[in-house]
Amino acid sequence: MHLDKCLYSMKFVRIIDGFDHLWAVKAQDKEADELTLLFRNWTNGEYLLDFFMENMEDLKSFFHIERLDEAVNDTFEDAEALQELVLEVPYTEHLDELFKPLDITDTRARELSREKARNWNRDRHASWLRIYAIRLEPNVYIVTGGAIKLTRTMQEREHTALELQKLNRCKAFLKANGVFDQDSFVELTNEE
Amino acid sequence: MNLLMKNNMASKAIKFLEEHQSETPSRFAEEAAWRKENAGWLRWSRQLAVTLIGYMQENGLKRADLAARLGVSPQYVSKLLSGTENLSFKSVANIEDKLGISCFAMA
Repeated sequence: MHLDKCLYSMKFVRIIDGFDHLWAVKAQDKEADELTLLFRNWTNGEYLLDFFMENMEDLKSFFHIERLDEAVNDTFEDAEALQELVLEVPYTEHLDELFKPLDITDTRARELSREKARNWNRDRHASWLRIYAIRLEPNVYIVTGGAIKLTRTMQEREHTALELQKLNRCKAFLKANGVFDQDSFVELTNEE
Repeated sequence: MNLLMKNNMASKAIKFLEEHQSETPSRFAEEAAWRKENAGWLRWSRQLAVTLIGYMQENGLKRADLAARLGVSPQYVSKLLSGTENLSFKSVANIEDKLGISCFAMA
């Protein structure tokens, strides 16, 4: 989608009624918001079978897993644990504990930084599930999407590179609409 | 950054999101609640799906092949593989008989 078009079309949904910290992008051409769609996929064995068949070489190379049933079962378990984290954390208003900056450039200034969440304490092997989000403020996030990330970097595969584009697009939309910019920062600073 | 500034910025951000809110509300919490409420039988359904996926890989089968062995439609195979189908004991026994497998490992 061209950036100019998305600047006018991006919509958001609040994930949990009555709580302001967690939001998600709702694309016009998709049936549901990004977080809802992620967990529908991650809890659907047929979707996971197709995904791991397509990405079998990465599964073998990076995780040394050759069995599709093991990969699918691990994902079912991991998705369930991650779902618990997402449901539990917003109520405690400690989302900053769930999300971490995507890379070094996002650690310098965390306003509108690109972030990732995963089950950080997974047994057996590191979690390959990722939720990607833009951090608006301390403990306030917009989920832009997510992925099953089997490779070291997002740029290496089309499906993760797409998620990087979605993050950048959302960030550009927010910046273009003045949700956070240097002027408002200075203005607020001057109010002191 | 002091608290006043954080609050001002947060309210500005939240206000922006509310102004750009989709008419379609999120179903994440509702669907997650459903998955939690139904976790008991979903666990069995997922285990059946995982068993079938292992069987397909071991025997080099595609969905259509599995459907043929089971004598069911590819659409029904899709439901079985999803791990979200609430099957009867009779259906599970039929699958086990046709494939010669046990879907649920005994603890």
